[in-house]
Amino acid sequence: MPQRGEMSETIVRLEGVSKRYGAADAVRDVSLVVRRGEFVSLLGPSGCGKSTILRMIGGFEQPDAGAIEIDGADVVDVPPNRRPVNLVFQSYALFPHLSVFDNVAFGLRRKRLPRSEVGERTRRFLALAGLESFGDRYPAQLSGGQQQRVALARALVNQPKVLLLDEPLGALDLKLRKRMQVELKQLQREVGISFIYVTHDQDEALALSDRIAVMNQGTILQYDAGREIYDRPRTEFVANFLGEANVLRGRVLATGPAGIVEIAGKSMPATVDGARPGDAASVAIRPESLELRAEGADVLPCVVEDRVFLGSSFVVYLRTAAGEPLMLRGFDRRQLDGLRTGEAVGVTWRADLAHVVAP
Amino acid sequence: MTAAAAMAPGRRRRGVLRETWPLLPAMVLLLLVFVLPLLLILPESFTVDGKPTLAVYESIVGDGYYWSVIGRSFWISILSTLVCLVLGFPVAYYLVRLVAPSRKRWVYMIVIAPLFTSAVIRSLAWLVILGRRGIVNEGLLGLGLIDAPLRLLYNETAVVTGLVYIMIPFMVLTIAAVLENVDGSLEEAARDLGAGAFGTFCRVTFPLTLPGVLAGSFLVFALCLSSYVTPALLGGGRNKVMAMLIFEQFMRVFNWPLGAGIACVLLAVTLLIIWGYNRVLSRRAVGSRGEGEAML
Ligand SMILES: Nc1ncnc2c1ncn2[C@@H]1O[C@H](COP(=O)(O)OP(=O)(O)OP(=O)(O)O)[C@@H](O)[C@H]1O
Ligand SMILES: [Mg+2]
Repeated sequence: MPQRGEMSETIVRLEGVSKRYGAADAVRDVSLVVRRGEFVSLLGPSGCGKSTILRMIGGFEQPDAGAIEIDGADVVDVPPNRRPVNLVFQSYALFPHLSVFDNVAFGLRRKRLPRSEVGERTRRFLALAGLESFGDRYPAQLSGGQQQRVALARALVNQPKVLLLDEPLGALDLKLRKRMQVELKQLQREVGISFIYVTHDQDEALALSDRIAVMNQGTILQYDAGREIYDRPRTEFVANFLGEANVLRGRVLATGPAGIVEIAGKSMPATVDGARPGDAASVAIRPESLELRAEGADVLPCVVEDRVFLGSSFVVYLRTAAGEPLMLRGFDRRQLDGLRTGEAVGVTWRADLAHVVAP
Repeated sequence: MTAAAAMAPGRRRRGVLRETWPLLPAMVLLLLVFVLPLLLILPESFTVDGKPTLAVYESIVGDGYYWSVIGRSFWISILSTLVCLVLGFPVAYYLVRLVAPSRKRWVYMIVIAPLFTSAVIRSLAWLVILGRRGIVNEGLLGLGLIDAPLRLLYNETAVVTGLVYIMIPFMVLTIAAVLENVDGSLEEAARDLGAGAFGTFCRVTFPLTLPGVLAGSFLVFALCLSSYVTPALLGGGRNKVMAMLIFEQFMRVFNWPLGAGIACVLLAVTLLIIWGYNRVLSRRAVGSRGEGEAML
């Protein structure tokens, strides 16, 4: 047994991992550190390499370059059955010829644990997943949500050091999905195991994760707490993928936290770092950070193109004088009532809510 | 109440027809060309010189010769089926799981190609290979490994070899069809949960392919048991199987009652074996489900 003090904070480390299929890069030079007990999401559009990363950690694909460490040990040459991780497949991959009980007990039996312990632990995890009374059923006799829980229990019962989940809620309808998200998060807190969670649903990633790695085209663009990424996206892609964003083109006039970017002839406030005065720049602003304001030096004149009532909020589609579209989200209904399509309005925002992003 | 009860059977009958009508054409055909001739032949075996009698069956049961032919037929068929299974399963696995998608079509072609040639020609090919002056003997003689040609033909091994060669596509295709529908991620899940390559095969791949193994085995077994050409060409007169015996009685000796009797015995024993095999395997399949999975 390692001493408490010797235990490293890091449970999974990927260092410069690359994987290509034929001529195409599926994963390019990815480095990622997951801490003990952390819930990390890999978020990105379809085909960006999320599953490939997960499958390399699970041992189902070999990286072409780079190192993968789990709990301090290099695992690149270790077959999947000897890695201290378990994978929850998107399709669940429950064994159709085995009962729920046997599905969950599968991993324990491979470890040749005594029969009594297999039974005891299996029952405990069935209970944890709320499946006590389903042990004798077969997967085909379960609903989608129940199958999902069996898949989770079957993986967790092995007490892996890391649980890998490949869009585990992807096959469920929205309502069940939301409920399972809550259950999943509670379960993760309860068992204290690190989760690496693949999703292309930004809300899910935000709701569940301690940290999110936003991916595109085989690379990780930004890896940080969801709130940090939402508030300070580093690239235009990240700004658009995690939440909605307005991106406006302009030219840097002053840098720093209270910087100024010239947009359509107006001096607009923004947080500017990584760019020098005179540089062309893109500024990302969240729809809810836009404020309607009458004329002023830092007010961007726009025309109202459309207004959409969405229940708890509303959205106003605007166009700047330079022809760029803008989206404003508001919550005060009276504000919406005061707007007419075609009307000229002005918008502005706070410097700390607008960020210069890389293209 | 009474009216409803009276109507129920009629309604049910119409219901059955509503579900089964697509089977009707095939059923009619089967009835005409298979069941009807069988029913015509059956009484033939109970009549000698126009009088009802069990003499035919008494002579079949009483004569050790018939038992030896029956025994040989089944032995050859079972052995051929097992060899087909052992050789065919890996081919099916390769075809479905391992071969590059771009090459898959070609491998399928290679498996199916022999089926385009008649069994007569394919059996004759083995005469060329295994004959006294065949390729194998000439080769061995040429290498100086033997002094006199080996007797490779006209024994049970030759028959089994020929049958396996002819039947193996059926086994491969049947198993492959089932394996195609076994989600590959199930095998990955087994590996993920700690099973090795062999354990994954035993606990996941094979049990899930069992329907294909069963169907393929039945198919090959039935085809072997009823095959005539291959045993006749490769087995010779001393290794008769039942199909040869039946043919002989009907077409050469013109002893129709005896021919019919042997045919009925063949059918009865076949049905019995298939029934038994099915029972044993389906029970095993169920057994592998409960907690007994640990022992499989
Ligand atoms: N076995 C394979 N052979 C060839 N290319 C592959 C293979 N597996 C994945 N790819 C390619 O690698 C890239 C990354 O695939 P991956 O499955 O990791 O994407 P993903 O982010 O999980 O997408 P999704 O959200 O759709 O599941 C894709 O372009 C895909 O086409
Ligand atoms: Mg994927």
